[in-house]
Order: sequence, then structure tokens, then C-alpha cells
Amino acid sequence: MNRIELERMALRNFKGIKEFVLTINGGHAAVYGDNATGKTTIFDGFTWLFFGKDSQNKADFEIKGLDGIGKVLQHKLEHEVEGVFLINGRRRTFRRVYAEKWTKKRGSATDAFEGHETSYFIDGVPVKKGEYTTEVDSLIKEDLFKLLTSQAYFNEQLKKEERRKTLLEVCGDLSDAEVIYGNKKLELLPAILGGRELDAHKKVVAARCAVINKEIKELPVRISEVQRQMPDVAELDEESLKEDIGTLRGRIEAREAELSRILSGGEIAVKEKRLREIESELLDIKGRLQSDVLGKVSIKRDEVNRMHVEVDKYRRTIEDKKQRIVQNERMAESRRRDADELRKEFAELKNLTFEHLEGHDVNCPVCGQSLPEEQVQATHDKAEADFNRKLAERKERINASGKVAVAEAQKFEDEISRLQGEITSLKDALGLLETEVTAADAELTDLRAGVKDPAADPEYAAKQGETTAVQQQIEQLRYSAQTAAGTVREEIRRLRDEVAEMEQDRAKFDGVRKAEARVSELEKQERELAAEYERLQHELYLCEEFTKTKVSMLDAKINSKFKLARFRLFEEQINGGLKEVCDTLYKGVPYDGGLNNAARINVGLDIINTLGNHYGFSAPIFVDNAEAVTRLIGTDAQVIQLVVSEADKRLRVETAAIQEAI
Amino acid sequence: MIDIQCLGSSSAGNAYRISDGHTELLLEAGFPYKSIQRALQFKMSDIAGCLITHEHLDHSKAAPDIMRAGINIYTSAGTATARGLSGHRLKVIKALEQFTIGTWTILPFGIQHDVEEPLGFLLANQDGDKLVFLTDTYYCRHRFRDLTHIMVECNYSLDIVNERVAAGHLHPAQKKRLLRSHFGLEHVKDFLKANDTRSVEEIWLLHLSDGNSDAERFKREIQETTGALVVVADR
Repeated sequence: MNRIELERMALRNFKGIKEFVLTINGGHAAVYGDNATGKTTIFDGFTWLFFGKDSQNKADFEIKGLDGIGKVLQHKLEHEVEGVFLINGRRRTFRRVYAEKWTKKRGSATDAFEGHETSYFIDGVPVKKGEYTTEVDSLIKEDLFKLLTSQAYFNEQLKKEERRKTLLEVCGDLSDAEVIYGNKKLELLPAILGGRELDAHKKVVAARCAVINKEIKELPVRISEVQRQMPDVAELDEESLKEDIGTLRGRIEAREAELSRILSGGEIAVKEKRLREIESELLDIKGRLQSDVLGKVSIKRDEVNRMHVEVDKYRRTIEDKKQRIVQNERMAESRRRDADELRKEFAELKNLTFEHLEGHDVNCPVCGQSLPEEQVQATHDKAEADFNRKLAERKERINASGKVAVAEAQKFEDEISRLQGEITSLKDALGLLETEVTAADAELTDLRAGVKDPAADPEYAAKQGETTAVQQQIEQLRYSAQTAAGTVREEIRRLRDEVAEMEQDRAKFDGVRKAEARVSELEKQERELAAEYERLQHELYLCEEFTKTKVSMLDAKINSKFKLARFRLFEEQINGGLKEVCDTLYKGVPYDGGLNNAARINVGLDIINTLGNHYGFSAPIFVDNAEAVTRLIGTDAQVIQLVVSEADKRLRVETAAIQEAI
Repeated sequence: MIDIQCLGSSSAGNAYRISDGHTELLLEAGFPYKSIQRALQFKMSDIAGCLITHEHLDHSKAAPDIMRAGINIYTSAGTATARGLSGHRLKVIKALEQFTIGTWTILPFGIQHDVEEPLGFLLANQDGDKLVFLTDTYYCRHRFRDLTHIMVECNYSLDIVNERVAAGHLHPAQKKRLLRSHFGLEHVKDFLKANDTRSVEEIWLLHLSDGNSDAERFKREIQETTGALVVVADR
């Protein structure tokens, strides 16, 4: 522990004090005085002696005594402070003298003011400024000296960053690893930081977040723009468009071929070929049209012919039968006649009787001797018998022949009547047949009349029309190939226009697809950006979580070092973020937010105690406005209280009584 | 297997994350976006879509932010209009018109609440799980088959409400609105009885009212009604 004690301090011509000596010999002291009697000036003198600045840490304060309107009372004075200290038991004297510098220039009657100069003395020996500063610095650094000598310096002079720095220096900062170890949520953080400082990383993340946020905000606008510009295809059908375009292209090709044929003269040949084709087509149609009827006619004709043959057959049969009737009649008549003849012969035979043989030779034919009577009788009887037998036999023969003749005649007659019957039925059949033939003949005539004229057929007529048209075209072509080419060109142009229009419509579908692809690309981008944004938000959250963890760990650590003072190192902001601050609190009341003077002073002393312990240094502490405190907290260091006391119109120093009060 | 995570279930806010191991969905978005994000450990980007039943802020608060985060919101035209939602991330759905998100097939159906076109959802995944999500309705006219998970509002019990009205803690007008806009224990029981709950693995009771409910009792009574695993959603 380094220790500096003030034994004696002498002020001369310093801030309006002509001469004042504070002799306290390293003990506690209280300096009483009414307002503006120079209490603070003593403290100013103390700081000026070492560092050339007043107790408010200002270098340009007015050292010289001034009159009521701010003018220097008296020039050419030496302004000085001299302090005698016991530094770690060794007595040292420091003296700083500030004076105006006046020089009398050659040839001038009077001195001229050339500025100020400061002289330095250590232990009575004049030294250069550099040596003086080095000597002071070797005792203690200026900042630390002020921290340890002024109860208000930490809270009222230091900026918050410096306050934080000081506190963290005193308490020892927490390493990131310690903090991360203290909160399980933070285990991802080291990987995220990748060695980067937390603050630096936060700045990078925040910057990236801002960029992403801007992009994310723009994306919906871009998407709706694309959607707005999407072509309207509600009334179009892509497939039928494609088909139509194909068809039209085919037509254009055909027309182009036609055009080149026209131009090369080949079109006439084509037309002529077409003409021949049409002729054969006409024949085809005619054939097709007529073959039908002619077929029917031929069938009918065959039928009629067959019928005529039949009729003829009937007629012939009838004729034959008639013939046979005539024949039969003749035969029957002949037979009847035969029978009559026989009947006559028979009848004639009845009259035939055996007559005596008158002429009959009664003599022996051989011997001519007359024959005996009995012999002649016998012969007669024999002759008669013979006669009768022969007659009978003859009758029998005639009768038989007659019967045969009659039977035959009857047979012929029967056949005649049979034939007549047949003829009658044949005639009936023939009659019917003839009626049919007449009808068939009529039909045939009708059919023959029905063989059509092909010209009546619409297709045939159309072909004939085409023949005429093609013939005309050929004529026209012959006469006006150029005109024809022009017409075809015109048609090609018209077809192309149509195709172009359809292509435009079809392109709309490509436009739609493109737009849709763009939208989904943008949506993907949006999603990726959102994911990155979220990842960054998570990182920020972890950073904040880290800070919060660190805060609570630090708060605990720092506050444990102080008896009275508490420190708020972070302030939570409305947006959830943390702002680094360094507010000193006492019983929850902020130092510069309503804390009373007494508490302020004691808190200041508390801080000095801790800082002094930390740095191993003790220096006199000046407590301004010490009248506010009834009881100062204990401290090892030498305390010089500056007390407002209306009664003391001049500074009054007490040493002994104070000792006890502290 | 359906995994249900409750981010909050009360009039202060409703949101549930459900996952079938393939596709994660958010049911309702009734909290500030940041707190949903925090509850999901900043994994909002894993959410494939967010279904919203109706326009009330305790169900839809974060909807605009969710759309801004590139996530599609699925809700009825009535809700979208009432809540002023629009843009390319808004997918307007209709009752009884089925749609899919990832591995989920979702059938919205009309429910009874004092707002424009509120919906309930029937969600089926490819593993054969079937979940019905039913909240802020005083009645459900639909029947469901083969349910494995039921998430149903169980806001109040009529006897508790009556006691509180009698004691003057609840205004009769409030009671009237409650009965016409929320699902009470008695209705939940009727609803469960009207459906075949034999295959049900989990029943989640949602949106218990602060004053008009009794978590212990509700759980026990639903267990008694169904014999299923009953979970009371944390508020």
C-alpha cells in the first residue's frame, strides 16, 4: 500500500487567496468557512500543485485574483502552491509557481508583457517541467490520483464509459467463456461468433438484418408487380391454339408451294392432271350410280326371259296335248270303226248257217266212188261241226277284236278327256304366268326407264362443276398467272397475319409460365431471406442473452466489492435491447437522480475505499460540502473535509475533533 | 406420430406447433411474432404453413409478420377481410374444400363463433394420424371418424359460470356471450360422446378460461368420459 499524506500546504496569491497555510501533519482535518471564503480553493490548489488543473479538472481556470468586474487585481505577482507530503514515510516538498513574464526590450523605457511562465521545484530544487511531471507520475497516475483524492470525481467527473472501465478493472471483467458457461442457452454462441467480438458481431448482424429487412419488404411489391403484369389467358386454350397454328402453317406451306408452281408454270399441268383425275372420278361416280340399276334390270330381264320360256313350254305342252287329242280322236274313231266293222261282220255271221253240201262231192275224191251215206253223213256232220266250230271261232275272234277295238277306242277317248283336263289346268297356269310375265315385262320396262342420269347426282354435278372450274382456272391461269400469284400471295399474307396473331396469344402462355416461375423464385428468395433473417435474429437474441447473463453476473461481482455503492451497468430499452450505462445507486436511488448529498459523499468515499484497496494506494481525500454529512463512513485514507459554516468568515481549520468523528 | 407443442392457450394468446415428423404447422398465431419465434427457438423458418381459425387477435396477432417471414397463412376469406390480411402469402380457404401442406391433408369446416366465417380444421397425415382442431365455437355440427388426436377448446363449466354470476363476479351479459361463443366442458363431453373416440391417443383441452374453469376437474372428467390420455394446454 502506497500512502501519501499531506502535512502542510501553503497557498500564495492563488485564486484570490493572498496567503493561506494548512498545517495538518498527515491527520484528518476539517476546514470551516462561509461561502466564498476559499474552501474549494484549497482543493483546487492541491490538484493544481500536482497536475496544473483545478478540482473540476479544468486547466484554464483563473489563478490570478480578480476584481469585481473580472479584471486582474494586480499584475507581476507570483502565484504559487507548495505542498509538503509524507510519501511512504519520506517527506517530499512540491512547489509550482505561476508568474507573468515581463521583459524590458532594448531601447524601451518600460517592461513588456510576454506571457506566463511556470516554475517547478521538488524538495526546494528548481526542476524542468518534464522532470516535475515525471516525478509526479512516478508517484501516481493523474486519473487515479484524482479518483482517489476527490470523493465526487468518480460520480461527477468521469464519463460513464470511463466509470465502467474503472469498475471492470477493479472487479476484473468476466471472460466470454465464463459467461457462456453460466448460461446453457449460450452454448451455440462461440460457434456463431467465430472469434469475433460480440459487439462487432452484433453490428455486422444488425447491418445484415437491415439489408435483409429492406429486401424482404421489397419482395411482396416485386411479386405483386410480376403478378399484375401476368398476361390474361382466361379465354384462351393453349392446346387448340397450337393445333390451329399447325393447321394454318400447313395451309401456308401448301399456298407457298402453289405460288412457286404458279410462278414456275407448273400449276397448269397440275390443274390438267386434276382434270383427268376428276374425269376418272366422274366415271367412278357414274359407274357407281348406274351399276346398281343395271344390275337390277339384268336380273329382271333374266327373270322375264325365264318366264317367257316357261310360257312357251306351257304353250308347247298344250299344243302337244291338243295334237295328241287329235291323234287319239283319230285312233278312237278308227277303232270305233273297226268295232263297227267287226260288229257288222259278227252280225253277218248270224245269218251264216251250215248248208248241205250241195256242191259237195259225195264221191270219193280219191276214187270218186260214191261214198257211203253214213260216210257222207259223217262227213256232213263233220263238215257241219267243222263249220260251226270255225264260225264260233270266228265269232270269238271278232268279238275279242271288237272288244279290243272298243277298249282301245275307249282308252283313247279317256286319254282325250284326261288331256283336255290337263290342257284346261295348263291353260289356267299359263294364264297366271302370262299375267306375271306382263307384270314383269312392265317392271322391266320401268327399270329400264329408271336408269339414272348421273348429272342429277350432287357429287357428280359438283365434280362436273369442278371440271368446269378447273378448266376455267386453267384458262385463267393461262391468261393470268400473275394475278393468281397475287391472290395466293395475298392469302399467304393473310394466313401469316392470322398465325402471327395466334402466336402472340400463345406467347402469353409462355409469359404466364415465366411470371409464375419468377413468382415462385421470388417466394423462394423471400423464404430464404426470412430464414436468414430469423437466424440472425436468433444470433442477436443470443448476443443479448449473453449480455444479460454477463450483466447479472457482473452486477453480482461488482456490487460485492462495495459496501454502499451499487452500480447499474445496463439499461433495458423499450425494444428489449440493452444499453451500456454506468449509474451509481445507493439504496436504489441513482447518484444523479435524487440522491441526497450525505449519501453522495459516503458513496463517493465507499468507491474511493474500494478503488484505493484495489490499486494499493491511499491519498488525502477532499470532501467538499462535508457539512451535509453527519457521519462519514470509515476510510483508511486521510480525509480533509470542507465544511460550509456561515459563522466562519475566515477559514478555520480543525484537526483533533475530526479524528473522532471519522 | 403427431407431436403437439403448445405455445400458449388462453385469451392472452393461442398458438400451437404440430408436427408429424415431416411437416411442421402452426395452428393459430395469437402472440407477438417475436415471442412465437422465441418459443420456437428461432425455428419459424421450419414452419411450412400457419392455419388461423378466426380474426380475433388472440388467434391472429402475428399473421402479418408470419407472412412477411415468407410463410403462407391459410384462413377464410371472412377472416382475411376482417383482419385486413392480403398478399401473395395469403391462401384463402373454404369450408369443406380440402387442401394439402407438405405431408398434411387439411379439411377446414365451419364452426359457430361470433365472427365472420370462422373455421375448424381436420388434419390427416400420411401415417394415418388424424387430428381435429376445434376452438372458439359453442357447438360442432360435424362428426369425425378414426380420430387419433383431438385439440378442443374447453373454456368453462356451466356450474362454475352460474356460481360466479350468482356471486356477482360475472356479469350476466358476459355469461350470455360466453355461452354463445365458446366451448364449455358439458359441450366438449357431448361432442366427445357423439364421436367414436376409441382410436384417440391424445385429447388436448385448450383455452381454459381463467375464472370459469378448473383444470384438474376438467381433465378428470374428460378422462372419465373417454378413457384417453388428456392434456390440459398450458396457458
